[in-house]
Amino acid sequence: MPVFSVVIDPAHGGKDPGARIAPKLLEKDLTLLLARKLRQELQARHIVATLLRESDADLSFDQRAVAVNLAHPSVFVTLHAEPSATIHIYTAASNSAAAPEPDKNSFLPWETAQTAFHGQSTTLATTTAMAIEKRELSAVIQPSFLEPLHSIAAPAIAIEVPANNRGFKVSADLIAGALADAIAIRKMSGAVQ
Amino acid sequence: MIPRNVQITLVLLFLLVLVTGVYIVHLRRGTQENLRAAAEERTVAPPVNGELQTVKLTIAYDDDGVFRSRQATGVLPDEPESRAKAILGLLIGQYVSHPSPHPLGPGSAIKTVFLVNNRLAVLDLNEQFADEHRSGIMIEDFTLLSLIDTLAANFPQLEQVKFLVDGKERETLAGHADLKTIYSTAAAHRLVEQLQ
Repeated sequence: MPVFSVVIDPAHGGKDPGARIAPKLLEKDLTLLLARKLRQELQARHIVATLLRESDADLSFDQRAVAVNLAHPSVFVTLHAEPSATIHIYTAASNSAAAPEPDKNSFLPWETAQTAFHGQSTTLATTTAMAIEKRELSAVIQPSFLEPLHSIAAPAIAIEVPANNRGFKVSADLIAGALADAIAIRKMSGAVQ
Repeated sequence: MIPRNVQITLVLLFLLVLVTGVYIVHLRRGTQENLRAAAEERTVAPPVNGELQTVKLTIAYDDDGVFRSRQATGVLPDEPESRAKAILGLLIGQYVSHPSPHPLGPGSAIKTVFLVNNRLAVLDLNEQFADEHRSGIMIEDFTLLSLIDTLAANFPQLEQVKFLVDGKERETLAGHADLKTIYSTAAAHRLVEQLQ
């Protein structure tokens, strides 16, 4: 019987620092911190969770997508931090002129792997936004051309948490808890890839 | 015999003149470098004669998280590739001005626009455009969408846009937005409409 599992991507790493939040505070360090908290929260809810990187490793977007697609997770989450004011949840933006109905079981171009999961990713984004709102915070859902979302063959979202020179502007525990709640709801609904 | 205090004063004055001289030479060199860099960034193109024309620009507003369609006027060349580059130049002009609705790094420019069968546009950004671009998911998306939609608004037959940086492919603009893909102008316009 397939196990409900989550792959967490602490974005950036190695020679890719991501956004420079402050002179000594890099996005890649904050994303790893948040990823570890999210794994803890998921494990507390008896959900299997793995991180794409455990250290300051250098992973290309293709390497990340390959690792995720080989793992066949039930959910994929990529974590980001930015000096902004709002929590953003992103789903992959469609990049086709007519938005065709894809067949999950046929061969597809690598960069369109996400198309078949668009509906599930949108539902996950909405559930996550609601879980965040329950904690008296707000989140904006938006489609994006963010790498590597298009290449992921699973329900996938990105979450970008506001940060400043002291770290996250909102509690990382709150965000990790909200995300874990949203994923747990998805698990309870019986969604296993 | 010159008194000791006068000797010290003279030595100090001499040192001051020397330090000031070195500083002036340093400033002069810096100014020359800046002027040369600025001259290199200037568009090298024959002067354009003709009537002022109106074009549509899709401008990103970071603070509001929206796009707004604006009109701009300029004397534009007739040759399609030069015209496309000039239109994007008007858009970038909005972003490098102060205050800017969507700031771009200094020296950001489009090096060349190639039009393939008038359906595919290849935009070659200069290195400063990508290297100096702010890193962030929405900020990077907004730059790409604004460029694609502005081009599509003025070249309605255009279907796809591809980005290069200094003639080469790059994975992302500044760590987030995909630069390897070929963008559909229709898909980009749908997103812009959602955020208007």
